[in-house]
This record gives sequence, C-alpha cells and structure tokens, in this order.
Amino acid sequence: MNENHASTEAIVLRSYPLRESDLIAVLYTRQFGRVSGVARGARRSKSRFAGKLEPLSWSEVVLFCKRNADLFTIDSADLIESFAQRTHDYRCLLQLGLVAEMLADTTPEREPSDPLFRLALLVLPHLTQAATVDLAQLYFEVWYLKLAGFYPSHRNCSVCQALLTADSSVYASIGASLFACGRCQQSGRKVSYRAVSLLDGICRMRLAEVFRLESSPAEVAELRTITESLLQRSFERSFRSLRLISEEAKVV
Amino acid sequence: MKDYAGPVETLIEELRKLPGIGSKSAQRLAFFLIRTPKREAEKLAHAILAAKESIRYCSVCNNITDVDPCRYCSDPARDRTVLCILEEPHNILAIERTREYHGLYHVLLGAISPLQGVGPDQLEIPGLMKRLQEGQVKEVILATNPNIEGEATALYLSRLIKPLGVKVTRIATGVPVGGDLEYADHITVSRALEGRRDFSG
Ligand SMILES: [Zn+2]
Ligand SMILES: [Zn+2]
Repeated sequence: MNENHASTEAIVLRSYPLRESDLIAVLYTRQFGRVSGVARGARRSKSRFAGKLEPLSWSEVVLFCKRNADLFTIDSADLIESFAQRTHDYRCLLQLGLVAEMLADTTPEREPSDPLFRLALLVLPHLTQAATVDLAQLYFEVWYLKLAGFYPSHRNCSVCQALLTADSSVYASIGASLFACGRCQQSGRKVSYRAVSLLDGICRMRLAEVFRLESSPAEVAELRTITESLLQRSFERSFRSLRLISEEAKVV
Repeated sequence: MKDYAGPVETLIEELRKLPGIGSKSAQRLAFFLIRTPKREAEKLAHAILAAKESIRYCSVCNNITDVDPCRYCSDPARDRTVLCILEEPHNILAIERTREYHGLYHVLLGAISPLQGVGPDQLEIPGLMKRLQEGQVKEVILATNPNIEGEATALYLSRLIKPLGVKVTRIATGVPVGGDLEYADHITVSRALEGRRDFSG
C-alpha cells in the first residue's frame, strides 16, 4: 500500500449527494477519527459503492488523501455490517440516528480515538433490538461523556459531597455530581437509589454484564433524561434526534 | 473583485443554484445564454415563469400538476383500492414507467430523517390518514427509498396504518437486474431473500 492510501474501519455517519453522481460521506474511522470523503460515482445504481456508504453502516474503507486537501477520496468500501438495515423498529432507527449525530457533530475532525470507536461498535448492534436499545443507549451516553471528560461523579451529593446511600433521598442536580441529597435539595426530579446503583454498574462493568443487572425501563428513562441534558449542556448544542425521540415517546 | 460585468455575474450566481451545476457549468450556461438570440432567451424565461405560475401540488395526492386534482386522482380507470406511497412527485414516473401499477398515489413530499431532524410532522401524513379513513383503500404500498430515511418513514407509516385494518406492503429491495450475486454484499442478499416471492415457470 502506498503511503497516501490507508485502509481503515469506518462507521458511516452521514452521506449526501455531490454533483451528478458522487457522494460525500462523513465517516468515523478507527485510524483518523472523523473525516469526510468523496466517493466518485457512488450514486450510480451499479456503483461498486452501492449501499456501502449508507449512514450507520460499518465498512472497511480505503482512503486516499492528497497533501493539504480537506476531503479524502474514498477509493473503495467493503461492507461489514449495516446497523440501520438490521432493524425493523422505528424507535431503534431513531436511537441509531442519535449515535451518528453525536459522532458527527461533537467529535473533533481528524482526531482518532480508539476507545470511542470501540464504544460505538460495542453499542450499535444492541441499538437494533427493541429489548436492549434503551439500556445500550444509556451505556453509550455515560461512556461518551466519560471519554470526553464531561462525566461528573454520581456517588456523592453535588452540594455537600456526602456519599449517597440507599437511605438518602436523591434528586437530579447536575453539578459536581449528577445528584443532590435530600438535605440539600427538596424539589425537582426525584431519582430512585436503584438508578444510582445502575450508573455504578455502567461505570464499572462491561455492557454484557450491565444487561444482567436488574433495571426497570422507568429507571433507564430517568437516567437518560439526566445524561442527555448533560450531553446537550456539555457540548453546547441540542441534538435533533432527541426531539424526534421525545416526540416518539409521546406517541407510544 | 468581480471577474465579469454585474449582470453576467448575477446570471452565473443564479444558475449555480440549480442542482448538479457547479461554477464551471454555470459559466458555460451563462455564456451560452448571452450568445443566444433575445427571442430564445425570452422563451426560456417565459417557460420558467409559466411553469411556476400554473404548476401546483395536487390537493389530494401532492403530485405536481397543472390541474387539480391531478390526472391520476381524476382518472376513473385507476384502481381506488390501492395506494402507493412515495417520497417525491418525480418518483411517480418511476412507478408509471413499469406499466404494472394502476392504483393511486400519495406523495409525502419528503422522508423522515433521524440524522437531519426531519420528523413525521414535516411530512404530508395527515392528508394520507384522511384518505385512508374514508375506507376505500384496501392496500397501501410503501415505496419510499431503500435507504435509512425511506426505511424510517416506512416503519413509521406501517405502525400508523396497520391499526386501520389496511393491508401494508413494502417494495422489495435486493440484487439489481444485471447484478451478480457474487458481488452483492450480504446485507443486499439477505434483503433479497426476505423479499422472495412464489415462483413458477
Ligand atoms: Zn447534600
Ligand atoms: Zn393527485
């Protein structure tokens, strides 16, 4: 392989048409982090790229970059998995969309992070199943915040630093921690202590083990409200997929 | 500093807004138009304006039309029990070219895009539901594009429509005609298998 060509795994985050038949794809790659690349002729129906650069597919791509060019050229793509095609659940598609949006809009360009790439690949298959989607997304959000350096503690009170225990009443309060104790705060969103323990599990255990923990959909939803507001606050932006997800929650 | 006289620059700018036209093509088109006789240029300008003024969306199906309802909606020979759902008006042509379909259409004027924040509320879904509630339609064919937006839209609609007791089908996707199984990726092949049908020689 010549020095300007590189083969790397990539998660396709977005793609949009360019000129008559080309495609620009925004990729999160293992080797280069987030990059944009042009795939020539990718929109022709018999293109060798057909379907391989659809958002939320995981492909092995060969990239070529001219010195000082903004865009990579995508020489070829080999599909490994298409997460969007794996699901027949509208809600799952929205959750997959959230991951793509976060990676596309909050990761720095051309700054690789192997842990982040592995986290995304770990979580994506579980986002295609209605039974695992919510907990997997919570796991992704917590670790995304952690890897970006935005995750505070969840064990102590934000205000008085006291350790939260099974006997404390716990309220959502994002600050030095995600929560405040009942002595420091008496109003707002009350959170069950079991939800605090679930976060403990997420921070200590592998995803497969987290699935074995006892957790209710209500606890997961409770925690996601907190992590998602922390995400939007930390990255100073609102995520469009979250609007669709919350509208969907109202329908169901 | 501008390269060309003001009006030429403006013309190039306007042409550049057309889909598939980059700076080079816009320049080429602009100089072509400048060279053409005034009468020809006027004909083009009038054609654009006339189309803009007489063309509108069909109040029933959202097709682009110069008569309302459009020629499909007002054709008594079309089968009123089948409705084909499409993203854009130009998709109708792709279905019509097959000469296999004789039902009616409903154009959504877009697709749900989780990645671009386009939600169901931005599509022409209320009109669709109203048509279905009238009770004449027995089958809905979801012919949105086989990409993530089209798939999200199809999944959303099927969940909405099924409780009405209307049969919901989705166009099959898979290996293209002239394609070779050997070169198709496994996702395409598995989709093609899912969409298989009864076959007899
Ligand atoms: Zn406290
Ligand atoms: Zn019509």
